[in-house]
Amino acid sequence: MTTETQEVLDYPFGAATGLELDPRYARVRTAKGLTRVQPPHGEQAWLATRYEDVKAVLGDRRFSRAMGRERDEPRTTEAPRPDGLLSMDAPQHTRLRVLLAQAFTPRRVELQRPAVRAIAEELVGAMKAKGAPAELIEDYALPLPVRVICSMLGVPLEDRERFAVWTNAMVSMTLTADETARHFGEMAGYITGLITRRRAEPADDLMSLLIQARDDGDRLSEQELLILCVQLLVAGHESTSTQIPNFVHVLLERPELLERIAADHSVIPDAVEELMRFVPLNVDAVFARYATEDVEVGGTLVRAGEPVLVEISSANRDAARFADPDEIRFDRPGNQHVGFGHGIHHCLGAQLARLELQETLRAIVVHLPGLRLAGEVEWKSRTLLRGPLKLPVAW
Amino acid sequence: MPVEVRVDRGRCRGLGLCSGMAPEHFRVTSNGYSVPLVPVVRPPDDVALVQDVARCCPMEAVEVTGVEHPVAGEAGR
Repeated sequence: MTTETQEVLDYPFGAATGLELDPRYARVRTAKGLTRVQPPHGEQAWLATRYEDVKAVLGDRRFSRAMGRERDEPRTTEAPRPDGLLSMDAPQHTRLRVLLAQAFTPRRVELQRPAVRAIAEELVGAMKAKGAPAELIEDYALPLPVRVICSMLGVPLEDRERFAVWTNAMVSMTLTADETARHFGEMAGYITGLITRRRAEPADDLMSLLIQARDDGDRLSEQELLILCVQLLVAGHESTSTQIPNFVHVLLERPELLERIAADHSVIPDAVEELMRFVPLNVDAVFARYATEDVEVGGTLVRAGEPVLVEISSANRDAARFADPDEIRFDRPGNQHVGFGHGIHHCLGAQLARLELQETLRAIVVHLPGLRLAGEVEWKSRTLLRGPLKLPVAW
Repeated sequence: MPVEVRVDRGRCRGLGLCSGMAPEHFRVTSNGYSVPLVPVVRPPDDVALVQDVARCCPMEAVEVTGVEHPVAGEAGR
């Protein structure tokens, strides 16, 4: 066990622009116990960086997300994270997750493969028709997941510019809590309007399914219905639209990997898993877990009521779990990365994200041979997710 | 009606939803896969819980099936 007096590090480690993982993670992974950190907002926390410790915290019911709502959660944004599935514990979380899980099972998602492939090919076709250079995010990485989630949820695609503003606000680190609340309020108002319309005219989409669960089964409150729809729309496209250009950038820097995929499409699923392990999407650890009783983690006694931040990107680079962790290898046996999280909050849309990422790699090697960067890459800064701001490409 | 609980090793990736939602019924072992702790579940609330877990499993690896003639001595907790 570590002692009470411990150095407190400022967190996050560095600005985290670009996809390099700060070297401090490798250092603290081999240090004794958990790391003590002070984020820019909220209370001090423990930081778990090792694979085993991250999984232990995320998978242990003695750690609570809901407790964070009563506390000054450690965070990089002034505003606390909005309520949603991620601010709940079992059994409340189970009650809501079970309503949605059926739509995201491997079998159900696989049924969408032809439609996702058609969208990917249509977007790539439009890029080619317009001629190089293209801007991969605006021309492909954003519209693909937006079209898929709008269709699943029942959100009109023509409103995409409105909710793009709100989505950007959700992941910004620079807004004040008041500004965040204003954007969230506008988005909630917009979604409430859609729910009213869907209630009058149900359709074959997730919003109608949730409305039915509310009205016929009383299985969720009106507020929960609203929050789930907002969360599905934002989470349903923001991370994938950021991860697509990240994947493409990593592959363009390593053309031999792209050639391997082009030579044998059957490696695509393994390539996506390995890139999910390798690419640190989050700038920092978010969504602190609070100990509901004293729990020993990685040689540190976490006292009841103390928060633990878990850094999944660091866990995915832990040499104790992954040999040569900083190398990209498509043939890693049993690649149990935690890129989609672990435990009850494991990403609901993981299978859908996999499908979109797989079809993206396929579309690139089939339809855009010779893809290359066509200009300087500028990276996002002061947002919760890492990724290029723009990715100019030619072929 | 009692149910039988199985985890399909071919599908399971040890993602820990089952053990987080129902720690009395599932455990992710040190080799990274989930095992059911109670093979036959009887109390109605517990049956509902393992059925919810089966619906939530991201890999569709948790199988819950009805037991017509439960084996004596395998009573749920």
